[in-house]
Amino acid sequence: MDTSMLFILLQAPLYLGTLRLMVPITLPAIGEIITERSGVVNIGLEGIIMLGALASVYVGYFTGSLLLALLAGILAGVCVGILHGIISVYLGGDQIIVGVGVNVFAYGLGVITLYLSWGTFANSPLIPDSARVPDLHGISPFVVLTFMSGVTAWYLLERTSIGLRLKAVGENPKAADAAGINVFRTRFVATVIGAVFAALGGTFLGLDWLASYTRDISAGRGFIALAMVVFSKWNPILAILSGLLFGFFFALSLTIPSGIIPDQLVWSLPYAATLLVAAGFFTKTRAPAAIGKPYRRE
Amino acid sequence: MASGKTVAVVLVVLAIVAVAALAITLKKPSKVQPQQPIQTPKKKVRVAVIFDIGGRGDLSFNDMAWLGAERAKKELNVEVTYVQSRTPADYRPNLESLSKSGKYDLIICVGFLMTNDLKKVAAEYPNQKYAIIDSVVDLPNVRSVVFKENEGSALVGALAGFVTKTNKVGVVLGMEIPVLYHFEAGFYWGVNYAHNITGKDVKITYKYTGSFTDAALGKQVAEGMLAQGADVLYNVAGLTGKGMLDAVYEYDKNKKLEMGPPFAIGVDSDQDWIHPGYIIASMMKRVDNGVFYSIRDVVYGNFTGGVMALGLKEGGVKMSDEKDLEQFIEIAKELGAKLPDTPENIVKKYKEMRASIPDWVWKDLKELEQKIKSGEIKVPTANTPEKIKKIREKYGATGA
Repeated sequence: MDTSMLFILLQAPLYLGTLRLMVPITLPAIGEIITERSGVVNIGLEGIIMLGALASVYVGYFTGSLLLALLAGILAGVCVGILHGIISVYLGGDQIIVGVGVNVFAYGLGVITLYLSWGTFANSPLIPDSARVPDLHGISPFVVLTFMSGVTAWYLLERTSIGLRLKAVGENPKAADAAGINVFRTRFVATVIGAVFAALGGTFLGLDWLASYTRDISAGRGFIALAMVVFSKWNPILAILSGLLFGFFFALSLTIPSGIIPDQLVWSLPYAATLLVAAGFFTKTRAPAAIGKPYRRE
Repeated sequence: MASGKTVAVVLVVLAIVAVAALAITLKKPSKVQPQQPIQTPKKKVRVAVIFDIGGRGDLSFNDMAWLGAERAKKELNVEVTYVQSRTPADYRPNLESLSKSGKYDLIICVGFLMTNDLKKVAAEYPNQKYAIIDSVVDLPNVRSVVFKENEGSALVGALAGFVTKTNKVGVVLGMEIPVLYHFEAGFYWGVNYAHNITGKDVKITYKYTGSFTDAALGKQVAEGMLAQGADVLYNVAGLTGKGMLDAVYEYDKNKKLEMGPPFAIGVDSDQDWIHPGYIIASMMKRVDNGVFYSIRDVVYGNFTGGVMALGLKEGGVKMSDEKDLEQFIEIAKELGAKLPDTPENIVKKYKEMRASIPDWVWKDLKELEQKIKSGEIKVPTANTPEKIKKIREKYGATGA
């Protein structure tokens, strides 16, 4: 058994799997960090992942163009972001309800689109090769994008005045407003950016990993991303690290064959490992003070 | 925070419902056999079919159920209507209104998700006859149609054992529920059966993914198995297994192989058309026959409650053949589903693939099928973790 465990640890699919499993949870988590730092919560990540995947697969399948497919995925994110932004920022609506609505809507739209376009409720056919994301030496460009996004988001948040203003809006919108920062516009833009990142996570699933759309394609990844935001202390760099950690143990749990260790134990590995690390290192977590509260001028 | 909890609660409830519903398919010993007609029908029989969510167009359970109903319409001259269920909340009202109307001689529920609602409604209307597919409701007016998945799995297991060149085969499974033990037991037995004939020592890897809907997981697991040299993979994971089928197809295509091995084996419906040349066979559950037999028993006055377990002999399970392929291409065309190639090319590739396997393999499988049908060979099955553990040990499905 020792040798077989060692064998598993030396397998390339384990490490490729780590990167692959990391992307669709880390991209949405990075986006959500930006959104939440501005004071808006978007629990519709699950739905946006689906919509990003759906739009990109639909366009990729019928046009065969990777560029158009990618744009469609991003556009899906922009649309939901604008919707969420208008309702929760400008109209002061309940952010949670908007998010739940997006999740329900996305699932339904996915099923209807599957049936109308491909005559089945289960999954779309594979997209043409021309619309698939090509590998860079066996690694998806989305992996590179994820790392770069995390670092850029961190830099923007922690080292620039834009980031300072965004955080001010999320901590004390009244003071920010008094200081001449446009609270509404800042939050609105942060919401749209967050939604685009979530949609990109879905685009990766649709154009890269699965090369097709499957009913329930996000399979809970949006909710994992929401949890990662908290584990990562709203820090994009830590989001990458917890994404890697979670991805590694998730990949490991899929690589260990059944019958060696009880499966239930194996499946809990990624969650247990993330919790342990979060408890041990990521101490003193504090959410942005004005999170989830719509801002109204008095 | 309340919302996070709500979501968690909803997810937990859904998971429990799914597990419970699937667990209910755990079978009791067979009590009822489909009856051959002896009398002539007296009056026109009316049948209503209640589809599961998904309904027509799932290219699986629901479409096959409708196939059985249409056959009954043609051959038995019955009237059939169907009712769609948009959400699980529709089952109860659908059942109630159909039962209340008293117009139907038989109401057929397609799928285990309706088990609990049927239990309640069937008790309220003891004079109404019901049938439920893939589940057991223990009431005198309900015919429970279940399948002997171990027998069909034995055939595809033997096929896997015969055609593997690397002497490594894999099984990709969904959630660990007793009904999947039937598939496992039959498949391992079949691989061992092939070993007894060829003398090849075939290593079996199996993996529970914990999901029936996450195709991404199926693909990841399958790629791992392929990388470790497995060259026949068995899909026992529903939509998760779609990722497995794609993984095999892409692996072969990247190696510029016109056909397998590595091969995939499909499940439930005939999946051979999805990637022609790379899916060597499917373990079909013939829901259409279950529906047809139930209607026939009502037409000829042979209807009784109890469990009708359909195996190879009764036409409840089977290894797919060319006729099934053609039928499924027809269904797919009718529904507007996208075929990967022209129907002629799909059949041509399929024939080439099957012809690439030595004749004696197909002959032997035919013999095995006959022996299982005649009862000369009994394929083991398992309903509990302890039993399946013993079977895994016996046939060398060790995992590592």
